Amino acid sequence: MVSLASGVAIPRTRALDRRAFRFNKGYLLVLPAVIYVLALIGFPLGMGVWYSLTDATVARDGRFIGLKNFVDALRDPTFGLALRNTLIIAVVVNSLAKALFSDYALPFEILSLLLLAAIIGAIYLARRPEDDEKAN
Amino acid sequence: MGLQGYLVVPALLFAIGMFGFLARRNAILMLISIELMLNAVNLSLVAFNAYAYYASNDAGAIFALLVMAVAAAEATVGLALVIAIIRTRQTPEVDEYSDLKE
Repeated sequence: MVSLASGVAIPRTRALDRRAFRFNKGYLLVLPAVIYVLALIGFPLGMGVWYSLTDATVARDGRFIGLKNFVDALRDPTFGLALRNTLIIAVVVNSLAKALFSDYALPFEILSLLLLAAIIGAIYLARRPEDDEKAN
Repeated sequence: MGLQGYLVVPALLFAIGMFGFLARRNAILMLISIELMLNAVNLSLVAFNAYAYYASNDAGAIFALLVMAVAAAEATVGLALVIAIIRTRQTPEVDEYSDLKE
């Protein structure tokens, strides 16, 4: 009985070990993407939140002033008007975007090809001949 | 006003663009006049869409967007052509481009 129990126990621990190792390797493979997101999205986001709590301007480091910026913005009547207009525009444009990506998806795709052709043609036409000589 | 007001402005814009295209001899200003005419058409399309009996779909607005993109393609190629021809002939005046006539 003892030998049987140990015989069962050993493979189970091996399987557990292997699974744990594979788990760690997965984290390792995700690490570059995590670093990328943290550096290019997380860090600027944190900086934005910090700047919103200071009175920093372009050329000058600010000091901490709490939520004064938000209070000022919400008290400004122009801000309320701009917010309302933005919401209205967002609703209107949303229906246009839905139509563009569902009913009118094919014309949209064809249009992208047309614009690509126009860009390539324009680059070819407007290029100076001496640029070619420099490249060669 | 209603629909009429939204149709008078495109008519004026189109007339201005047409006059500019016919009267101007500068190639770049002729291109600008063509854009004016295209935008007049866009404005009338959106106005008809907004005041149409079946106004539930956005066909007019979508069509205006497509026209804008086509106008962008046209302006791109047209401007490239004008730049190339100005570079070779050293003038933007279309009266000077008379090689085929002579």
